[in-house]
Amino acid sequence: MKLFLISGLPRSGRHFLTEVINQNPKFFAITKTPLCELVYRQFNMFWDRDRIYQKDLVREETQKMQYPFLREYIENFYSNFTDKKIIFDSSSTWHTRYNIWMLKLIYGVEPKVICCVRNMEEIVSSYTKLFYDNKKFFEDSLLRDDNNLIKTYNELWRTRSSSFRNALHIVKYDNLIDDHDNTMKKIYKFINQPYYKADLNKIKRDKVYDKVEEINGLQGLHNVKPGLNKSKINVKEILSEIQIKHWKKMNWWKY
Amino acid sequence: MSKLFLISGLPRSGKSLLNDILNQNKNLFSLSHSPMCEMLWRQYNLWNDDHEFAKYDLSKVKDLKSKYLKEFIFNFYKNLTDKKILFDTKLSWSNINNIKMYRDIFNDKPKIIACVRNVEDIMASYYLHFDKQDRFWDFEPLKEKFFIDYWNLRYSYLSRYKDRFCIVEYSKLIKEPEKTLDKIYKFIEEPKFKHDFKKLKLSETDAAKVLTKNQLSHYTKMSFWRGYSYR
Repeated sequence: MKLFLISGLPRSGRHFLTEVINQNPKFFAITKTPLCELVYRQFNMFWDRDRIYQKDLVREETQKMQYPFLREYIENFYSNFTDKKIIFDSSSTWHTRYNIWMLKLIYGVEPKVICCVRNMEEIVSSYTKLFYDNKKFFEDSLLRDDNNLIKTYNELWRTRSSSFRNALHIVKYDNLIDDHDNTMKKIYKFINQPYYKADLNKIKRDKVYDKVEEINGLQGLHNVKPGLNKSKINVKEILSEIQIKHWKKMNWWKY
Repeated sequence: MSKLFLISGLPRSGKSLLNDILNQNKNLFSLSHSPMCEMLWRQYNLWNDDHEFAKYDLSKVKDLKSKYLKEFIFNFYKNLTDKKILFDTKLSWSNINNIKMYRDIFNDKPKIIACVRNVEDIMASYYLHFDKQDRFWDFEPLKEKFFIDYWNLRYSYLSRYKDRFCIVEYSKLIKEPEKTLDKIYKFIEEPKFKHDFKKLKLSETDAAKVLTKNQLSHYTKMSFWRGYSYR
């Protein structure tokens, strides 16, 4: 089994890209799985930082089985979903340095992470509009510690400045929509697989997204549609000049 | 016997300005950025902590609380001034726990002058202020602090201590200083004084130019002293 990962910033077309890749009959791509967290917990247990299980990990056999066990664990997890051999797991946490390091130890080679990004001012205005339509105020949630946007942005920045930067393949939202074929070809080249042209009209919206929207209390959070539709957002209408100026500074992938 | 009044409110709403104006009056003394609230709280806390009481055997001084703390306050001010009417300025006075502390010590509710300003103007002022230094207000930790101060004031103002607040709006303090000062003197029940208002200048920040429609509609609802409801 081969495992590839899809990650990136929120509101940058990650779910759309997952559905496009899922059109390939050889591939199985899925979002909203707990795999990352599950593997992380198993992995941590073997490292045992709190030294609670130290005496259970003394045997040589136990120490040797660590990585094969985790590989089988991941394979078993997906055998419940599909028979296909090439799997894409999509979650915004995959691009952190710790997770990449973890997978490198388990598989022996660096994992390949496809990272969706989009201009920050567009992400923020998209969020602002989404929150406004749901009668909420986005700036309030920016102040909270559990804010997803700043957290994932910082993690991505740290990874791309670290020695793991070659594990990342940046996919810009504008390119994904405007120059779709070339962008997809580059992705296939990155993962070393023969190119397959997907029929975008066959894309279906996963029913799970409804439940996710309900949990978050945000209608229209995962608005995946068939075909190439660029979200029509006028940044200047939604954000002020000062805000645009400062959010723009964060787009490091432009330079 | 001296009298102690409190000045509190929101940031960037003219507290220091009011301090300067009040200090023109020779009978008044107003201290800005006062450490009094924090000092008092540390002293006062000792009495509520049973654990500490057992440690030092402070049971004998249990009845001294009010008398001792009153002397503590006025001794602090004795070093600064001879005047009998004192104003202590600190944002944290609007916290309801501090108001309760005052009531416990003086056996009377405090009189608090709360300086406020339209929240959208404060926000716009902060955006411009930080942008000049190439910093972004959305990421500033001070923004969190602002909302803590805001909710403290709002909570206390909408509690049973409401009649003990005198709201002083920044725009009115600048445009109609005499009327506003009359209101304050009436509130603290002291004779009026003729102040010199020649140096007053309104800082002009047009919130509509700096903020977006979305922000404006959100922040204008936050001016609770006008009876607007939030959400």
